[in-house]
Amino acid sequence: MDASQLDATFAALADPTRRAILARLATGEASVTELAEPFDMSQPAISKHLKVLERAGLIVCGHDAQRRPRRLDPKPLADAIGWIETYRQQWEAAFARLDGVLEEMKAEKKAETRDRKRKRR
Amino acid sequence: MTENITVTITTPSDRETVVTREFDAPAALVFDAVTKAELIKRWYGPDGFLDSCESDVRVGGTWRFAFTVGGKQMAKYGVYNEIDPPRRFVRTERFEGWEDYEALMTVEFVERNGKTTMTQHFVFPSRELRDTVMKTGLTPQGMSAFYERLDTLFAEMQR
Repeated sequence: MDASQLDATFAALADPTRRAILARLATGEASVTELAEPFDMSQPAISKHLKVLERAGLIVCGHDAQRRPRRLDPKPLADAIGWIETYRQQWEAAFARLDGVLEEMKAEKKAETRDRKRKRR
Repeated sequence: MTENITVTITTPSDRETVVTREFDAPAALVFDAVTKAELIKRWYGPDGFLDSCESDVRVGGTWRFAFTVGGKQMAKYGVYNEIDPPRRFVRTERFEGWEDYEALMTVEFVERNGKTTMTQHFVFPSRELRDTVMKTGLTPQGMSAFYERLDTLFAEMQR
């Protein structure tokens, strides 16, 4: 996925209504009429959001010419989540190990200080 | 996944990435743990395993971390430009066999009440190279991990 595609994905996901539409589509395809209902929005307003989501490649139009149901395309979303999330999780894992190293270093330091005090006596 | 989120990642511009994390240790210890070879070996690298690790911590000194990913041997290397223990260091980062790429990494340590916040600031030569590095990260993970995250997100969305 190139950078401009990723931008379109993030821009599309920035709007809570559009995220809610995606969440609804995650449960199965739906027509514009079906989508307009729960959101208490006009069909043109919903259509506008759908266009943004379509352009971002997040949803695709189904085959039924009359209902024109929309469904979710999970790939760009997976890329958008994976991009930062995978990177973050790798640091989480590395830093969790670093926590362990720091605990050992603290314990060693404590032992050293104790030994030095003992020698002075 | 019930993992705690402790690492903050931001992308202040097209060519930058900032990774921030707090550690329960004084700055001097954290500084040593991320700059001294024998300590780096104990936590850094894919699955915590480095094939070799060199780090000459002085201005103009070089560093090199070698590791194996999916049977392929790789190495990161660079030069320390600034050393100011335990507050800050700056080093360049390159990958062997990847000539286009050189990043600048500035690491700062701020200690408060015995805890240290470490901020790693990366500046990449271009947006494309930053994206490539962030996508592959320390270990190139398969798409399966991405889809797992997506499934979790959808499960949350449907609640």
